[in-house]
Formats: sequence, structure tokens, C-alpha cells
Amino acid sequence: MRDTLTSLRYRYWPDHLLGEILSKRWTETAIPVILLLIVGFALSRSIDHFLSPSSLADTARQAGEIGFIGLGMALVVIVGGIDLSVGSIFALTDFCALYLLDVLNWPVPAVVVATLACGALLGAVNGVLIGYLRLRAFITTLITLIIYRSAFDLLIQRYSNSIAAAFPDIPSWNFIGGGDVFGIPSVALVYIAIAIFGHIFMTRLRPGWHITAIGGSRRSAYNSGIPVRRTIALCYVASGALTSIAALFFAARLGTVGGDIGVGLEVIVLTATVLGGITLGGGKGSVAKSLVGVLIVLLITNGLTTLNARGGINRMALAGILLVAAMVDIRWQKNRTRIISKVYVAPTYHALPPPPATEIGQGGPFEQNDKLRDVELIGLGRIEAPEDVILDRNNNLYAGSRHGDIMRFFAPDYQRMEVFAHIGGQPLGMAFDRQDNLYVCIGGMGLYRIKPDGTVEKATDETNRSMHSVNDDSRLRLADDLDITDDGLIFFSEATVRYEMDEWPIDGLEARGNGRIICYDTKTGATHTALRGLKFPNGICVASDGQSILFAETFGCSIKRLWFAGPKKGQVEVVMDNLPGYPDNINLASDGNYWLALVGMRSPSLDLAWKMPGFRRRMAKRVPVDEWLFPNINTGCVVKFNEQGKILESFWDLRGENHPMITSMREHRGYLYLGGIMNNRIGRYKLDNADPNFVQYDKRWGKAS
Amino acid sequence: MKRLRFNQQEIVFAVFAVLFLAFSIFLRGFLTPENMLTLLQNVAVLGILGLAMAIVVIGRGIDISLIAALAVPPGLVLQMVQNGHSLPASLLTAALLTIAFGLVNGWLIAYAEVPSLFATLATGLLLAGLGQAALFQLDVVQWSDGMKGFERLGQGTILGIPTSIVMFAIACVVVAFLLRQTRWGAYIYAIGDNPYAARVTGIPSRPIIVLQYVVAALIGCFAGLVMAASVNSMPTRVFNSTLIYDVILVVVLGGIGLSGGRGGVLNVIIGTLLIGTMLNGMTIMDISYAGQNLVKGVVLLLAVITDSFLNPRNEETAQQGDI
Amino acid sequence: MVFQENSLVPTMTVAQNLFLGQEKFYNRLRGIYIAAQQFLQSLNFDVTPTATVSGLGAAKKQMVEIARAVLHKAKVIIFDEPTASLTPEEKKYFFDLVRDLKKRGVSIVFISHALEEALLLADRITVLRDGKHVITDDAAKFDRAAIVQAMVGRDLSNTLYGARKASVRPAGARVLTVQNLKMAPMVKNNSLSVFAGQITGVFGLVGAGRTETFKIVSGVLKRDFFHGGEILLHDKPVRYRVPAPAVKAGIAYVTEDRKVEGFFETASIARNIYLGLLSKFPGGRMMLSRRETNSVGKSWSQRLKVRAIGDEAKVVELSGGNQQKVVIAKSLVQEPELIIFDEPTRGVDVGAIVEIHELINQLADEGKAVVVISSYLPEIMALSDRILVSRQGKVVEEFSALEATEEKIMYAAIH
Repeated sequence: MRDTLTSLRYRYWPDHLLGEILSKRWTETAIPVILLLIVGFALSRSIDHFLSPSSLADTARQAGEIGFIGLGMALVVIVGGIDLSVGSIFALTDFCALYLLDVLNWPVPAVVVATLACGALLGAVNGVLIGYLRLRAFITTLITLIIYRSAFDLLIQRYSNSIAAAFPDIPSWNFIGGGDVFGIPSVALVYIAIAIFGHIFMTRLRPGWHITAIGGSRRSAYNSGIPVRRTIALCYVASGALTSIAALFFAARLGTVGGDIGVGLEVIVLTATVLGGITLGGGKGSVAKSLVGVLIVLLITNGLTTLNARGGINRMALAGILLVAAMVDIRWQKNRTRIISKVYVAPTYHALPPPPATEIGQGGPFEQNDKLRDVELIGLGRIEAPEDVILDRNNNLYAGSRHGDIMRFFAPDYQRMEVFAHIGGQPLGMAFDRQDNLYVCIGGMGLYRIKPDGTVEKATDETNRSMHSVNDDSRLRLADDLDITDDGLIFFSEATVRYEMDEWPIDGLEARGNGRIICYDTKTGATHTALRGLKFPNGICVASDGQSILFAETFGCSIKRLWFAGPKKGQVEVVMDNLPGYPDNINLASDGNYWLALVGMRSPSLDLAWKMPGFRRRMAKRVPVDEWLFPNINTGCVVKFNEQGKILESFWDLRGENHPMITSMREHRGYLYLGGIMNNRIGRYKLDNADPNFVQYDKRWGKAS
Repeated sequence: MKRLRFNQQEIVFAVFAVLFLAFSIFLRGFLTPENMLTLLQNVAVLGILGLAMAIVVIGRGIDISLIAALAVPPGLVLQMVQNGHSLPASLLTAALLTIAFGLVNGWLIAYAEVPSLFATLATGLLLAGLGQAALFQLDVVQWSDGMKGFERLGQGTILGIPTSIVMFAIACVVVAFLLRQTRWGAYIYAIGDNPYAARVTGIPSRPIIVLQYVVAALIGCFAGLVMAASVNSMPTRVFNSTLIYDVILVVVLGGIGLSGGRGGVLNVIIGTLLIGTMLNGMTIMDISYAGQNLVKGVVLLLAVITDSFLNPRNEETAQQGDI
Repeated sequence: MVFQENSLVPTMTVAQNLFLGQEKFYNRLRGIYIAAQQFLQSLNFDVTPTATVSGLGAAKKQMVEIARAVLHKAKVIIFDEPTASLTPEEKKYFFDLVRDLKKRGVSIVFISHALEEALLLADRITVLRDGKHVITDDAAKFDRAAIVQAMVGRDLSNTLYGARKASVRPAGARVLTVQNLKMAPMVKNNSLSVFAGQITGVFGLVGAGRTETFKIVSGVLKRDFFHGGEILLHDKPVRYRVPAPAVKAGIAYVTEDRKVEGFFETASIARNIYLGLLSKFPGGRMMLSRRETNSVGKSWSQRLKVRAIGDEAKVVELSGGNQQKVVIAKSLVQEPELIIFDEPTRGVDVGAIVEIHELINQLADEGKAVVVISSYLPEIMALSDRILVSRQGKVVEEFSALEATEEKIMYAAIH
């Protein structure tokens, strides 16, 4: 009963999502977003019509205007500076627009262009001073704030009357000020367009990268050959131009020039920027953060004004919320990675029945023996980690090594050895296609093809991203084993999508179906995921019927069959389950049956732990990694099974001297060649009653003429 | 041979000297004893505030909330006396409020690790809001009879020198003593120079930082009292002005780098004198307020640019996050 | 293009850092992550391409830097102490990589304090001393002793990492006990003890959690809030959230990164040392005393043989060795019982190394508990009476200096 409940709880409650969501970079912005939701909710409850279209449109108009300045501020803060002069630039460009329109009677397009140019120019002054002359941003923009402001004051004294006297009634100008499309105010539309562009700009375009790099480490950026000074200068130009856009909309909306326009605006924008999570000092920030910050500040101030709070209370509330948010956010930023490291490992319930007996004297197909005691050893001490071994038509032997090499041992005595090809990563499963190309699954890299002359080509390193997955699972992390169908489809397994190559044992601890089978079409070059949710899928072998593949689920302790053609296409059925060990590679035997390697044997302790997810979670949180309970992969065996899933024979090395650790085996001309990922050797075992002329290539692709 | 180098302090001093000389020669009525006193009197409050800011900036922080400390506690004194409380009791309350305010600032920055620019921005709003919402009935708190005698703090003369100048001088001496002679001052320089090294060395960084903001707030409050005494009222709307920028300018222009650990009282005095001379000269020339600001800004900009040419920052040694 | 160390941007991802400087105008994010993974794995570097660089350990950062240099096909690559954080195996890969780069026509400058590596790898060796060029010649004409002689100007090969210890100091009273200390993700259930009157060497690769463990002991870092373990000083449990109370209790930590958290660069030597004195013994020193400053500064400068131009010289103007001596003096003036030296001779000239080693030995002879953290095996072997080996966040092995060999220690550090 309790087990059933646990099993249901772990089947339907997605524990793993928490860690995956937290690992997303956008969760850095979580605190401001939550604050925004709280503020929005509180205000909508306490103010009538807060969510009415007109009220929202009004908010959107103001948000758009401040939002533009916020984008500019975000840009200069990310590049590692600050722009205090935005309030004054805002005032000056506002004046510029109205002066050109009302006094000089310029046409609207010219006014727009001229105002933007004016803003860019004012920003350029900052840019030249800070970027090229390398003045300190804080003090420089503080001084330009004063200069621009006094220039504005002087201009106002002369022209405010003539501006106030004019009442331009130009439709396009009015549209800028108060127009909307489907109820969305013009300013918000422009803001959205610029924000989307800005997001792509910052994350994907070269200049955006340069800006982030300079803010993150000016010296590194300089060493990387980035034009530091120009980029910084241009950021201030952009800040000025964005501010002038805000001023344009403002001018068109209100049409007045008061003396206090833009006074203290820099404080509001700076507050919004910092509150959104863009840290002063540079290198961190995004468009979304800027928007969130602006919305929070605006909602709070507008909301409190609507509530008719006294000016003082308004200020206190704003300040209080800002402080609390800042404190929480600082804690969050500090501890986010720590929390991720604590919660990412999310074990699940995984119950297996008691395993079949393997002890001597118990009988049964798995009964231990010492057949592998006298295996011949190839390349002892000269090869490391040959996970898979394969032989070509000329009887040469190939094996991967930990250093990312494919080694070739020459027939007949396999004493001579050479590096056939260097790829990198961890070469795992291998298979020859009809043209003698060697396909290799490279852990950490993907599927690679080696031509007979030794040239390496990438076959695939990417599959389609599944829509419902939080982690981006398009990148191949642990391609494990493969086989090729008659039609040139390559099915290969990917053991886990949640962990990197070197963390694979943790996946065993988690015991969730994180793996998948991927299909690569050699004809079209397309890759797609064929089957998901497998518990560490490993060995793959095209079955004798040519319509299905057999695959091993290592931590599922089972062998399954996936039909890729024929009437049952797409179906999965269990061939064998409750194996006494963890199955690895599967290969053809000369008699039409299949070889299977058990990489390690199950242990009662881990079996028990697999039923206790809470225990494993505590272990992952409190005990250092190298003391965790991991699946045993020290000793295993080779078994032969038939199409129906019946075990026919097993081979052991009980003394554990010659070849106890087995991840793969290949039958070739009466011998069984053994590979093991922890070994420094390849084993060769003489099979009794085996076809002495059996060559896997011929069996699959026919004898060469 | 060692290349001749000037630091910012010397450049600003040179600018000041040139301006002073030029004004003395070309402006009638500039180099008179009365005008000199007026000059100083006009910038005394700014100078005192500059001292408070200097303490914080030397410790690698910044205190935007100084103007709130300038306006609210002294305003409270005036308001309480107006409401019939005794002067000492009112002063004591204001002092407690100031200390509490400084403690909040310090706690946020030292313990909650909120960046000082942001923390003081918010607390300044908070205190100003408190004053507006709960403490004052009018924007300008008027002098009342109970304050009699207290205006001596900002008006009149001592030994022929206007009191506000004397107050600035006293503040200079006290702050100079604190920074140069006491253990606390040495700690502030150490923290500003290298906060991590200060921590590892075993300097009680956090309490020192808290104290730093408390002292700054107290000096700010003192500046407010001097200001209120000299104009016989406390215009609390001063919080909305750009005074804080002038304060930062005085400090930074005088040569106290925002990166901390450098400078002292002398720098504040030089910065104050430069601003004072400029404003005074322009007032004599009868330039409008906005015009004065414009000229002031341009001169400051030239000073900073000159500094950057004489002491260029290079990419290798530029500190990350140093804005 | 010349390639240098510290060219990473901490706020960007590994993939972005790899391609920075030769990125396309439009970068498909998924594309660059996959390309970065392919490239890193082709060099057998296990680094997650989507991770932010600031969150990586020293070794992984090093790998990204190296990968970046290779990817950008730099013509001249300057490696500054590239092997400090690599395991012997990774070091082997790295050396192969360097030889491979050489074959492709890349010029490589390899800056190292590990003479053996220089001899193994270099074609030409240049020795610098005190910022001056001493000698440049073919590597074949050098041996260890010759390099050392060129570095110091006199024959020091015996004093420096010389003869093995004939005897070890016996353990005195137990000063420090650490039990199950934890700080995710660097320190994991770490337990160890330190005794008075002897030098405890802590060996491990960079990233093995040694520095973090002792930073927690001295209050610089905080251990985990839940299940954080225990620290006993003289058998009394202590918990420091900041270093100040640890200093008061007699623990001194001499940092591995003196530029970041070692000294006050605008202050004079004497002022630096005096600040150390002030923070340990503030009582009665409300006012600063110039006389005391000078006398303290002078006596310690003499004792540690700090060489400076004039009394008012700022620490930032000194050579690495003299800076380190000032940092040490700043800690010793606090009369600590437990002194933790973290990489005490990093970036220090050979002459000063000898002096610093003498000083450390002297401290142990005086009966203090001394901890020396180093990732340079000869230094550990030369100094320690007792050797702790740290791996993946905990101490895994302990040796007496008499039984330890370099092979045994290295084996423990990586297996």
C-alpha cells in the first residue's frame, strides 16, 4: 500500500522539473517578476477599474515612455556604466520636438528625425567622454545632467510662451501622442517592437555580445579584440536616442514644456533598472528585466497616486517595497546556484522484483562459471576504456579509447596497433555500414562517421527539441550505442538528457526515464527522437526480422523491442525484464541469437534504495558525491539470449582477473571479442560450437562480391 | 627623470587658483573681505554635507540619503518646538531619529549587502516620505519662539567670522581628526582601499560601515541645523532639489575617488572652494541661475577631462564595476 | 593575435566565451552551445557549454581558456601557470596539445614556477629575476640546478626543496579539529585536525576544497546553514561568520590571492602591518600613533627582510615576494596560534621563497600550529611534518612526512 502511494506520487509529481526550471537563466529574474505579480494583484483588488482597458492603456502609455529610457539605462548599465543625464536629455529633446513643431512649424517626420538626432547627439557627448576619453561614467553624466538641465532652463525662459501659445492639430502628431491600434497605444506598440529587437540584439547579435562582454570584464573584452571604446560610446548614443523616443511620445501626448520635466527621472529609471535585476557594475541584464523593473515602479507609484495616498506615504511605500525586494533578490542571486545543486538531483521510485539467482549451485541460466578465466588479452595496458569493439571484413579490430581515439589492431595477431582516427569525447558504440564507414557514438559529442581512409565526419549532433521538456534537449549529451537498418536508418541511444557525459552515474541514482532513442536518416541527414522516457537506454541491435530493434535499458534492467517498420510500427514490447544485472550492448550471434553484456550486477542495497526516493534525495543533499550509493559496475558477465527473451548461456570471470568488467562483445570467426569501459585491455574468447566463418558485416550486408 | 604628474586634487586646485586670480583681477568687488566671507558663507552648508559624503565615499560607499538627513531631523526640531516641546527634548529626539536612520542605512549596506547607491536612494525616499506624511504640517517649517537663541548657530559672527563658516571649520577639524587620528578612521580607509583584505585582516568591517553611515547622517543633520538657523526656517522641499548632486560633485571634484580609500578633508575644502568661487564670481557678474549652472557644469567637465588626459586610466588596471 | 590569460568574461556562458571575438553577426544560441560542446569534447575537456563561467572551478576555467586559445588559432599563446589546476592526466593532455600547437607553427610562451615542467616542455628557457632578464638559452643547456642558480644568482638548489626531511616535529596539543564540515559545492563532509608545534601540509589540486575549508575555519567563508558540521578550536566548538572574531581567537589566514584580499595598496608597508596589529589588539589604541606605526613597521620589515625603496613605499609598488612578506607580517603581528598559509610562495621569486620557508619553519619551532596549503608537491614535501591530501572537497589521506613520497601523495590526490 505504502509502496503504491510512493510509486504514484513519484510517477505523477514531476520532481525533476524544479531543478530544471531553476537552472534556466531566466529564473534569475524570478524575484522581480513575483513582486510585479504581487503588486499587480494587490492593486487590482484595491483599486476599481484598475484592470479596465482605459486604465491599462494609460499605464501602458506611461510604461512605454519610461520603458524606452529604461532600455537605454539598461544598455549603459550592462556595458558597465551609468547614465544620470537621461532626465535632462528627456527635457531637452522634449523641448526640441515642441520647438521644431510649434515654433518652426516643421513637418512631423522631420521633427521625429531631428529629435532622435538631437537625443543621439546629446548621448554622443556622454559617449565620447566616457568611451573615448575614458572618464568615469558616474561623474561625467552627473555633470552633463547639470549642463543639459541648465541649457534647458535657459531655452525655456525664451521659448516657453511661444510653445504654450501654439496648438498644433496634426493627425499624425496626435496619433503619436494618443493613438492606438486595436486598443494598444502607439507608444506600447513601438516599445514592444524595440524590446523584441532589443532582446534578440542582446542575446544573439554580435554587438549585444560585445556589450555584455565589456560589462562583464572590460579587460577580457579588450583582449578578445572587441572595440571597447567605440562600443561603450555607442551605448550612450543609444541611451540618448531611446530617451528622445520617450520624449517624442511625451511631447505628442502633453504638448507642454514645464520647468520640472524630467527632474528626478534618472532616479526613477535607475530604481527600475536595479529593481529589475540589472546589477550596477555591468555584464548582467536583459530587456525583460528592464521591462519588469519599469512596470513595478510605475504600478506602485501610479497605484498609490490613484489611492489618493499622501505624497509622503506614497514615497515610503515605494521605498519600503524597493528595499525588501532588493534584499530578497540579493539573497536569491547569491544562493540560486547553491539551491540548484541541492535540488537538481531528483530521485524517483523504481521497484524491481528480486533478481534471479546467479550463485553457483542455484542453477538457472545465470549460474556463475569461470569460462572467461582464460580469455586471451589484446593490447593490455596499451588501450584505455574500450567500451565497444568491432571487427571489419579484413578481421582488423577497432576499439575506442578514453582519449577520444579510435584504435585499430591489425589481424591476425592483433599485436600491432595504430590510432585509426582521433575524434575526441568518449567513443562508445560502433557499427559499420554497407560502404564500410564506421559509425561511432561519441559520448558528449554525438554520432560520427569515419571513412575507411580514416577521415572523420560528423553525422549528427542535434535532434529536435521536445516541446514539453524544460531543459533544451536538442543537444546530444551521451550518445551510447547504435545499429543501422537495411534502409540506412541509424538508431542510436542517448542515455540521459539531464546529465553530462561525466555525470552519468548520477542518472543511475535518479533512476528516472531520462534517456531516449534517436533516429538518424543517412539518406536525408535528418535526425529525430524516436522514443523517450527510457531508463538509461544503452545497447541497440537490429533484430533478425529487420523490422524492429532490440534495446537495453541499463537501469531498467530490461531488454525491449521497438518496431520501426511493419504492422506493429511504433510499438514497444518487453523482451526480458528483471535481469540480475545492468544490461549494456547487444549484438548478433552466429546462430541467430543475441549476445548481451551485463555491465554490472544488481545489489540488494541499491535495489532497496531505488524504492526509497526520499532516502536517495537526502543522500544527494548531504553526502559528498563519491560516497553516494551508485550502481556497481565492477563485475558482470556475457549472456546469450534468443528472440523470445530466453537466456541460453552465460559467461563469467569469477576470479576477476582477466575480464570481469564487460560492456560489449562481438562475435567474429568463432571468437568472442570483449570490451569493457573500465578496462585497459580487450578480451578474446574462443567459442565452442560457433560458426568459424561468421563475420558480422557479411551477415548484415551480405558477402562482398 | 620622473614625469611631472598632477593628480586631480592639484588640477582642481589649479583651476580654483586661476579662477580666483582672474576674478580678483577682472571682477570689481570680488577680492574684498566682505565678499570672501559671503563666498564662504554660501557654501558652508554644502561643505559640511561634503564632509559627510567624504566619509562614506572614502569607505567605498555613497550616501544619496544625506539630503533627507539634512531636511527631516532638523525640520522635526523646529516642528516639535513649534508644537510646544522644549528645545533640548526636540534636539534629542532629532538626534535619535538621525542615529536610527544611520543605523538602518548601515545595516542595509553592511549586513543585508544592498548596494549603497540603491539602499540610500530608497532610505532617503523613506525618510523624506516619513517627514512629509507624519511629521510636518507645512512644506516649510517656520522658526518659533521656543528656538530663541538657537539661530546663533547659523547667524551672526564669532570673532568677526560668520558663524556658519566657523561651523564648517569645526566640522572640518572634527572629521579630519576622526579620519586621520583615530583607529576608526584608519579602518575606514582600509575598508575603502580593499574591503576583502580588511575583512580577512580581522577589521570589524560591518560595524565600522554602520558607524560610517550613522556619522554621515549626524553630520547631515548638523548641516541641516546650521542651514535652518541661518534662514530661520526649514524648507523641507529641499529634498526634491538637485543639492545632492552638488554634494557629490564637491567630493569627487576635490579628488576623493568613488573607488574609495583615497582623499580627505582637504579635498572637500578644495572642492567647496572651487564651487563657491565660481558661484560667487558669477553672482557678481549677474548671471542667471541657469546660466550659472551651465558655466559651472562646463568648468567641471573641463576639470575632469584635463584630469583624464593627465592621468589616463588604462584597460589593464581599470577596476571592474568601478563606475 | 597574442593570447593571454584571464581572457574570460565571467558573466557569459562557456560557449559564448569560446566564440567571443570570432562570433558571427547572428548567433543561433542552440547552435553555439552544440558547437562549443563538440569543440570542448574534441579536446576531451568536460565542461558544460551552457554553464556561466563565474560558476566554474579554477580547473574548468583553465580548460575554457586553453580551448579558446586553440579555437582562435592564435599565433602566439601565452600560458601563465596553466598547469596549477590540472590533474596529472589533464596535464598530459595539455602537454600533448601544446606540442601539437607547436607543430602547427604556433609560438608558445609558457610561464611557470614548476621547473620540471619547463624543462620537459620548453625548447628555449628564459630566466627573469626581479623584473630583469637574466639568461636565455636552449633548454638542453639547462638543468634544474642551473635554472635555480640563474634565478637566485647563487647556488640554492639544496636549500630550495632540497634534501628530504630526516626527522619530523612531534605533534603538540591539538589546536584545531574540523568535523564533517560542509559548504556546497566545494567542501563536502571534511574532517581534519591540526596540532601545535608542527607544520601540517595540505596538498590537493586546485578546486579540491582546501582553500575553502580553511577559509571557513578562519571565518572568511560561511559553512552550510543546515548540516554544516563542526569546528573545534582547543576542543571548544566555534563558529565564525566573519573573520574578526577568528583573528581575535588567534587564527591567522594568509591568503593565496594577495592582490584581491591581501594588502591595502594605497597604504604604506608600516600602515599595513599596523592595521593588522590594530584589528587584533584594539584595546587602548583609540588614537593612531605614528611612532608605534613606524616602529612596528620597521621591526617586522627587518625581521622578514622586506626590501623597499624608502619607508613610505606603498605595498603595490613592491615585488611579489616583498608584498607576500608584508601580508605575512600583517598576520604575524597578530601573534596567532594557528597560522594558515595558502599558497605562500605563489608568484614569489626564488630568493624570497627560501626566506619565507625559513620563516614558516621557525614558526613551527616556536610551537605554533602551522598549516601550509599548496598545490606544488615539492613545496609540501619540503615543509610539512604531516601531510593531508585533499580531493573533491575532503581530506582523503594523511601521511607522515617520513613515509610520504610524491607518487603516494599524487595518487591519493586524484584517485
